[in-house]
Amino acid sequence: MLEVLWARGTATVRELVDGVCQDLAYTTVMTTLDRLFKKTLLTRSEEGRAYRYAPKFSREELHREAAHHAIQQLLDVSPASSLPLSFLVEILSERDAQLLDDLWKLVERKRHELGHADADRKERA
Amino acid sequence: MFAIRGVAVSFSAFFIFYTSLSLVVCLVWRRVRNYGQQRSARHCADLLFLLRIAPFLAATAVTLTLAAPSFLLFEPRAVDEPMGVLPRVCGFCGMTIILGGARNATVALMKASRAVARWSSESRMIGHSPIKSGKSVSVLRTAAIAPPMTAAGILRPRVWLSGAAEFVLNESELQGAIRHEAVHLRRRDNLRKLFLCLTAFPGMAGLERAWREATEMAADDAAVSSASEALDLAAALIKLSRLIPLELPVELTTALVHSPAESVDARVKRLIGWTERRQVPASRYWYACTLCATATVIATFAVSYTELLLGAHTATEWLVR
Repeated sequence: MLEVLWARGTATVRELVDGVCQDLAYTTVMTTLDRLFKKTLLTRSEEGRAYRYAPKFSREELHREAAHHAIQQLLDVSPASSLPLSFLVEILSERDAQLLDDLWKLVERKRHELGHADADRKERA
Repeated sequence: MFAIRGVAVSFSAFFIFYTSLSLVVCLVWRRVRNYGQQRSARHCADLLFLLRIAPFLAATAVTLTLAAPSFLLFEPRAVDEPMGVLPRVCGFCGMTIILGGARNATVALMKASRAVARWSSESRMIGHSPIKSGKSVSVLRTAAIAPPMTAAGILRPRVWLSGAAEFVLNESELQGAIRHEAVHLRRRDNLRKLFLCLTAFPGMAGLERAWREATEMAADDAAVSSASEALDLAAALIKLSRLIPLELPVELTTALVHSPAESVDARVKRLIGWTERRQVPASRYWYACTLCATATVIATFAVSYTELLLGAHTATEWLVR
């Protein structure tokens, strides 16, 4: 729902149900938007008998806020503050290594495809 | 007293223009980046750089061509006019910005030259790479602790390669990586970084990061001319990203890999999806428009210069009181 609102800027429940949320019931969309509003993730203004909803934070702001909250919680529950940070560094290193492995596979696959394409061209020639 | 008032007024004008324009840039640069991203990476990088230094250039131009001359021409020297708090504070802030920028640039230059001296002490030349027709840049291999591959130097630019990088890259990957660094040197990216140091302003970090990423992508695009070359450069990027950095990249240098894994991810994916279309040279229409706009501004400025000077003097009078 937030993705849709970030893309559109603002929307009413009716606009969403008639547009991108056609698979969902009107009440489901309304309840979800209301919950997001109560969680202060959306702002709303009255428009006739309905509300027009808009995201309170940009995507980047929300991600930053969520990360800040999660790290804060992690630091609060640990007896030694350096411990969670070392876990975090470890996780990031593992994630980066995994990312580079995936990229390497993509490069190898593309090289393979290019090799095949070149071979086909030579055969035809 | 006249001279002090003149200096205070000039620096105040600089400060007011510089701060106002910088705040506008802080608000609009994301939109400009989105527009630039629809065009080539080189276009995006140039646009972001222009936007970043525009407040400094505009404020300097207004101060040197309007604020200072109008004060010298129209301010009566005999009258000992008292100066308010506003021009004193603004003048002090303007001077601090300029001196702070000069200090930043000097420190960055010293750090870069120290790093280059350290790398040079244990280096040997391994070749040359062309950067322009008839011009080439030296490629040196250093045994000192250094980033895997770096382009450094403003007046005498060179490409530095660490032993580890030479070991992990094969010949075509190495050539791709060197071409990438040569593009940075041809585009004078290190000189541009020096300008950024000179024109420091809080809140510009995001814009500078976006510019750095765009310059890397622009250098990637210019360094490859076929799909296989693009894959070689992508492979070089991945291999060098795996090397544990023994030294942080030095300011005023451009390292092939210095950014977070997400940025490497975006660059590698761009290179994997390389197409001939990206190599289409930038449209001359854009340059013609820029030239016309600049000529119009200069002509308007020249025609209405006297009125502008009078207007500037009225504004500085208000500022001083």
